[in-house]
Amino acid sequence: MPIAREDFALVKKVKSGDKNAFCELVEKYKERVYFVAYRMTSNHADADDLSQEAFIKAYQSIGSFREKSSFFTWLYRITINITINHLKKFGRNRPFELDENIRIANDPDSPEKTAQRRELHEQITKAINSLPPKERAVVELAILEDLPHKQVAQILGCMEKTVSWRLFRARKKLKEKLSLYV
Amino acid sequence: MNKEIDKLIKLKLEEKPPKEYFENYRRNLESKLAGVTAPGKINGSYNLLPRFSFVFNGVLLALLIFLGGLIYAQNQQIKSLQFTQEETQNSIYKYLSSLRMRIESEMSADKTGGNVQTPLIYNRIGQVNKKRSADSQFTEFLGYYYKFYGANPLEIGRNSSDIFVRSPESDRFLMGQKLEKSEENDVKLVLSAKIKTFEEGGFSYE
Repeated sequence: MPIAREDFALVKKVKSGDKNAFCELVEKYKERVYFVAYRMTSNHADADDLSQEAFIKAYQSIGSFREKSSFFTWLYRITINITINHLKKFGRNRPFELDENIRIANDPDSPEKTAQRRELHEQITKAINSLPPKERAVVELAILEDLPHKQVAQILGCMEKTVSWRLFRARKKLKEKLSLYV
Repeated sequence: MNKEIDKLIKLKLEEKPPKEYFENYRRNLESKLAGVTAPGKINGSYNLLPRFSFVFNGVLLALLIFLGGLIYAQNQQIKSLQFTQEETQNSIYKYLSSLRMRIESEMSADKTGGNVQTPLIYNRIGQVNKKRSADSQFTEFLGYYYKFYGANPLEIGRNSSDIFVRSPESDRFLMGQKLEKSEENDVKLVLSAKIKTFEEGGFSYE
């Protein structure tokens, strides 16, 4: 069964009051939703709260989901909107250190290299955090999630040209910030 | 160049939360979902409102435009009525003014002993009904006089002999003619009696 159809079947069950069907959807998308929120906020606690808030909001408003796009696109949209609102509300330039709760996969064995790697991650995160929320969302979806521009535009509710323009500006800023590493 | 920066940014994908985090994720979420009401399945009538809001908006807009048009039309009608009324009043006023001026000019011509034209009032009285008694015609004359001239005829009767009265003896109309001395007192008496009746409200048309 294709993913979209499988999701729609679960959505129908949720609409008819089956809470377990929703839990199945949560199980399926929890990591992706969490990472979207995490990469935009660079904070584990915020990402945890925001991802859960996104699921709750999706559960509450699933009746308005018209199945014109895939369930995941719809869920992404909710998550991105909640995260952008959070960033607008609590500021985007908070002082940054890599979250203690976050581990870097494939950490090198040598402590020296580990420290260097962490520093590089901190610089990347700092550069991303300096971007406005909407550009950050484009970086997350188009570069990190590697979604086509059309789908990014669908998620963000804007035109493809806007996505391209935001991505162009974001890349330019990131190159300036990370010129030492490129 | 883009690929290099993208590659660098993609290092973010290596950042992971604690290993046990996702194991507890569902449990945490379920506890939060327990306090949340069931998903809003769109059944309630209020939910139809957003879907058809454009229809309601359209109807509301049309209603507002209709009401606006109605008020505008009513205003125009009132204005045109007011205009017509003013026009009517003006024409009545003009007619009355011309009538008054005509009477006045005829009266003054009588006083100065000029060429006497048959006065309008006399004409009217004379033409009204020859069969009617002179008394009733005199009463009508007073009515017209009072209505159009607006002055107290008693004064004229007292101060001048050039008045429009009927002599009781001759039973004829005296139109601006100088009264004979012998007639004057009779005329004044009759006039006084008639005016008194008129002022007491006993004046009536036949």
